[in-house]
Amino acid sequence: MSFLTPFYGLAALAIALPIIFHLVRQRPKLRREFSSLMFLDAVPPKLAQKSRIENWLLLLLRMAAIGLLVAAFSRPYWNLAQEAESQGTQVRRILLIDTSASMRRSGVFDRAVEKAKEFIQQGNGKDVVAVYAFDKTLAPLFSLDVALATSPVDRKQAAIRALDNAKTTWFGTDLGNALVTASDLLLADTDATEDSALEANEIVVVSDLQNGTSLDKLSSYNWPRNCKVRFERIEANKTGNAYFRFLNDTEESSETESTAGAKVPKGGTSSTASTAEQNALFQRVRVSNDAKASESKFKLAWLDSDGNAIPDAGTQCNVPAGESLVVRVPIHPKGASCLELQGDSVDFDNRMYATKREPDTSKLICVDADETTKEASLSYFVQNLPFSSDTRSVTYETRKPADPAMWPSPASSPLVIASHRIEEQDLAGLSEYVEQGGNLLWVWDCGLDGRTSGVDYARGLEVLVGIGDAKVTESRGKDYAMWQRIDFRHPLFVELADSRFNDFTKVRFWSHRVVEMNESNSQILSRFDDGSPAFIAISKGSGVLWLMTAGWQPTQSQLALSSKFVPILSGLFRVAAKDSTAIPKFTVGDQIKWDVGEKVLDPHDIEIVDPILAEPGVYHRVDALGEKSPFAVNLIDAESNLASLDLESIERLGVNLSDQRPAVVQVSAQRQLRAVELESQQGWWRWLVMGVLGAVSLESVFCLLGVRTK
Amino acid sequence: MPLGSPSNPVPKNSASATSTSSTSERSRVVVDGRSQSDSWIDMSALMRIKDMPLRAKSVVDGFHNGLHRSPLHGFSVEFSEYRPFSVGDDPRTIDWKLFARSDRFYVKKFEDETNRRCYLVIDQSKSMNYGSVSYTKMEYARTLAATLAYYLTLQRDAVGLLTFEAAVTEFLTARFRTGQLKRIMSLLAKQPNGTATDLQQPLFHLAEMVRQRSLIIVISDFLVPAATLEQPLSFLRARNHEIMLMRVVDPAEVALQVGDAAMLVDLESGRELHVDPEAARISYQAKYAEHENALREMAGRMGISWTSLTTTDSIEFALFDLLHRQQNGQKEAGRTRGAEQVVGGKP
Repeated sequence: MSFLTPFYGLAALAIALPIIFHLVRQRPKLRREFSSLMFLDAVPPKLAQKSRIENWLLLLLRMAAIGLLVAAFSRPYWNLAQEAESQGTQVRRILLIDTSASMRRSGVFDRAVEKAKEFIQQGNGKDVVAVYAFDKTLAPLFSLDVALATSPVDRKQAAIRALDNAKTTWFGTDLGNALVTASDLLLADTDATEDSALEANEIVVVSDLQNGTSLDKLSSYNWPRNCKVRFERIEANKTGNAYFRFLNDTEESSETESTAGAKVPKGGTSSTASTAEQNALFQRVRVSNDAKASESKFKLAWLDSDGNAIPDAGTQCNVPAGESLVVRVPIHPKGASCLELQGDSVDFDNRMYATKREPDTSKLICVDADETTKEASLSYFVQNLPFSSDTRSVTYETRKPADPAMWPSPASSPLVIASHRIEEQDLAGLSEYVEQGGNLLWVWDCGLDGRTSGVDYARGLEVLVGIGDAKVTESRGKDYAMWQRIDFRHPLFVELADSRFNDFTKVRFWSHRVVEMNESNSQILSRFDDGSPAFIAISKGSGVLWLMTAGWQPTQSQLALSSKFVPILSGLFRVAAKDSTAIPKFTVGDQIKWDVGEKVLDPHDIEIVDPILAEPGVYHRVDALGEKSPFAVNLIDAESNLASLDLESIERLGVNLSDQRPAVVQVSAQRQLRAVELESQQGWWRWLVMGVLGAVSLESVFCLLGVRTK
Repeated sequence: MPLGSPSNPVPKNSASATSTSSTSERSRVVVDGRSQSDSWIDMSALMRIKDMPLRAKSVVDGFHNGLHRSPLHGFSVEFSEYRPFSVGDDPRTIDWKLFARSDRFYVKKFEDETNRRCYLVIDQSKSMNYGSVSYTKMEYARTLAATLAYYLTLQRDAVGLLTFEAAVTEFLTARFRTGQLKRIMSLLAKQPNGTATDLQQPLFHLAEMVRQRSLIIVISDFLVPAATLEQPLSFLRARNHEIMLMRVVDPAEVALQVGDAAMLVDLESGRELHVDPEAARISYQAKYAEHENALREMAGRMGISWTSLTTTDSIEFALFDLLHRQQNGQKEAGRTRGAEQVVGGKP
């Protein structure tokens, strides 16, 4: 017999009350008035002798009522089967230890390992414990299969030994992936067991639970009901973290807006220098400081490959806790390897590696003849376009039709623009150029009626891309035509997809050609309002023939004079040159490819075998000729976000969290829970309350009889 | 002795025995008397009469029937002494018959009983509101006062009234005139709202107000320490007043008959006390007797008449005591005068 609320047993002392009341002479309830008390002395009520207890039956009934009431409140239950039941449960547990970059903070990982060992040690000997390390991926240290195969006697020690092999990495944290994978492992194994319903599954996560961890996979995962997750949070010695990121040109404008009020230090530049000059001389970085940070004064300094600071290449900044600041630092100096944030005690993310890349050179060739007026010339509007950028230097060349010179390779000239004036003898070279991967933009900038030179359009299509059934006619419609059904998803038009820029109604085409063909390799990017194709991309070999059925010069249309012209041709060149708008960035965990004959050296100049970039630093790609091209690999941004992750956000994703209290407390709570269950099943208190009511009723009856007898 | 007739069971020697009578003696007499005769007024029946004058009349009329047979009654102008005439005396007072016999001028002196002044001093404190019978001590005391006033008025005495609680509440100068009795009755009928008892202050007040020699009848339960009464009573005695102390007590107060153990509440102070009568009775009665003895001893020492009445006693006893007092006072006065006369030489 046990009691659910034994402290109510103290109320059993109240059994003494009826005895005392029986022994005490009743204090008179009557109050009588008397003329004067001057002849009377105060006499307190006296305790009668024990032998003077008169109504033994009433006394016993009253004591019984109180005793039964106390027993009822103490909630008694029989617990014979409790121990047996508690011993029969086996828990299958996967322990996930975080090895991501954020665990590199001072002492954090050691404490995590100790915590994990302690947890394993405290577990029941019958439990199955597997150990996995997780960062971006999940890696077994003592897999579930091995754990099941290991005898229960050795299981704990094997799991603890496996923890010694855990090492921190530089990868980011994907807790969602780890939980989903571990859950699948548990469920897969559970399904194979016949009595799976009786077993409990638990995932224990030992981690710093930083806010930058990814939980994306959990949002699309239906978390199993019989699998619980317990989190053991490892706190760092130092709270707060400061970190910085490079801002490229495209981020510049938006970042300036987002960091309103940010102070931009001059960095030693002349106050009269223009913004463009500053951009050429300085690199913008954004320094962020955590809300719990204690430091606010930092220095950004360029370091060489040996870790030594490069003189005159540092910038001081003051970033209060919880704020971010855009700072200009001197642009990548010669010999610099990384930019370091000095003054932040959490140092695992204080270095950002950068390389200086020499700009590529390209040539844009325009096949066109000189025109009497510039407005009638196709090439006039092309040669002034700003194709050059920080990463690429573009030169322009106008070539006469039927020029016997060799066509350059697509690598050196990714785009060739041809007017209606190309001749029959140009077609073979251009066809080969497209075949090899070149991009030819052929503009039919002259009507069929007034043509005096150039190859026939249908003939050109047949030679260039092998379309023999094309039928080209001149449009006979209204005064002008407009583009419609523009494919804004295509890279050529994607920059104009925004509603602010996608109005093409002001671009009118005075004349255009109508082409009818049946070609599966073609993609119509836009049409005229009469339904005829206006811009067609026709793939051939490795290259693409871009066909415009109207010219852009003012005699043909308003396109060259519109604001759409530059983005369209720049986009075309970018597509042709396979450039991306953003500076290519590599982060730890990215997969890299290299061609045959090439090799990649890690920051320690050791050739890597695994295509996954495992640590931050400056890598080198070595081509077949032995020429090295460096590239930088940095930590992912999210890993620097060290704020504590709210467990409720995980719970909201459907994860079944177990009790987060310490194990000892949990065992006690489970016992209490079992006791509550047993007590509610047995329900002794109801019978006791019935007994109380019976005793009270009898007492009332006997009292009534006693009063009547008197 | 007319009151000693079969209609009056009082022993013959009781009137001449002493000027004081105790409650125990009186109770015994009453009990004995009731066992022999029912001629005494039933107090319960009397108290059921709402009209105070009628109550008094009922008592006094019954008392008068016996009184008319008394030889002491009817001397409204009683011979006192002969005194040799001296210059300045009124010649009308000369006893000419004696002059004829002795050829000397003598002046005849008479005692004037009709000019007696009597003040009834009534305690109306809260303790007087106690009563274990169907009426309280207060009602008994007021009936007693009304009876005495009526009786004295019939004797053509001037009657005054003083009621008090913690202080004097009403005062009516003693007069013999039409309407005086009515005023006394109306004052007695007023419901008091007294709290505490202070006997000293009313007696001092009375001594200051009443200069002429008077009979002062104090009706109270005297539930105050005896020592506190000594000074005011001495003061009154020094003024040559005759004083009668009439104590009115309830039978339950004498024997502590308050039923079972109970919380007793003091009517005046409101103090509560748990009392088990069985345990406290002996001590109570001893202290009560001690207090009464102290009062009686003080009265005897100061020549004050002391009467103790329980509320079950017939009020006629009080009238009897008053009459007895008057007779004793006459005789005592006569003896005193005779002695003085002897001492003073031959007439």
